[in-house]
Amino acid sequence: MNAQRLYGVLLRLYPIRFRQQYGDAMTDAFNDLHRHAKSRGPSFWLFVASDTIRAAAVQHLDVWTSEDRRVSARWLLACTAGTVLCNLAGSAAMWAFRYLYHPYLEGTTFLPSAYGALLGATLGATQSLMFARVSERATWIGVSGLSAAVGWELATHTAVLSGAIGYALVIGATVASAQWMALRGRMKRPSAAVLISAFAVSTAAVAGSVAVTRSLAGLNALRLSPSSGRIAAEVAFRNFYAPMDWRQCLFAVAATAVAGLLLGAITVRPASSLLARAH
Amino acid sequence: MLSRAEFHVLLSLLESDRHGYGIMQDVEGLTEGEVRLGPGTLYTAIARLVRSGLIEECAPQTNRRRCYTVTKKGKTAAKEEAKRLASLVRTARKRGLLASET
Repeated sequence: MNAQRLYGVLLRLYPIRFRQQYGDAMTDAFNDLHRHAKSRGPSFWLFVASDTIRAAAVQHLDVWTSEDRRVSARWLLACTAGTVLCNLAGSAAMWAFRYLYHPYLEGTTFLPSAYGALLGATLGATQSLMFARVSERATWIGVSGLSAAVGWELATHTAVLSGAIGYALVIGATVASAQWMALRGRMKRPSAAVLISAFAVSTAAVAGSVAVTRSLAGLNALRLSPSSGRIAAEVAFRNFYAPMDWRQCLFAVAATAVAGLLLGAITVRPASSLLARAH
Repeated sequence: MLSRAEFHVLLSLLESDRHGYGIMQDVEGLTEGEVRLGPGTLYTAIARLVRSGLIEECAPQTNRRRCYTVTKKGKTAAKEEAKRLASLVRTARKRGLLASET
């Protein structure tokens, strides 16, 4: 590998926008530096590598603290609010179902697609606040809700074969495919948004499924999703859902807020750059 | 407040418009090898200075390379920074950290 190609690899450590703006100029400067260097041995590469690592770290920090700060903060808030609302909406739906339950309804089930549509649309609604145009918001909510409904239905039927991870993957993949189709042509690089959403909805799928299991536990007349019992995360999430008093309720909201914040933190970088471009 | 690298880039451009490697060479010469800017540090400083309006891109001179020029705002900022540093040095002298000027 020659020096220029090796420097090209080091350049990939920088944020994409900085690289697009200054990458060529930096390569020119590096080529001159390399050509005129007295020594091109380990000390030269140590200087270049330490310079790159230091500067790349500063640039990544800049993404957080400069022009993307407001977008990042709003995205974190949208994900946190979305996850909390998902929990509240899911729990409310389950409570309503239990409250209105009548022996006449014996044998009926809470449709996975209805549950999926509710959660997908709730999370989609908070995330859509990031979009500037009303049509984009409506598309995002509609596609999130519809695809989550289809995904939940599919995942429920295939979970016997695919297990817990497959359950989340089926939902994530369904939503991602639908959103990619919706965003194709509207944005230059819809893949970033799609990946974010797939991850978000998969997470919500696992959490939502646990909520269903928890809320419907003990109601023998109701047929539970065959996948619910297989979800390993259930043990961790068990106490977060179907709270029995206000303390547990507060705990559930706080816990899901932290989960949403984590979700936002994991996805904030690609989301910020995508939304900054979209704006 | 300007960083060390940003101040050196401004100092270099006060003399004449330069491209990236030109700035690197000038800073190294100006500081007698004490400050050596790598491409990453240099363009991080350039990006911040451009964003703050202290320098701007100028038309390439002899080749396609991007060159930079200092703006009026940049000259004022460099003067302010020099004054601030001079004041710091005076204070350090008062405390005996540095030898008095003869």
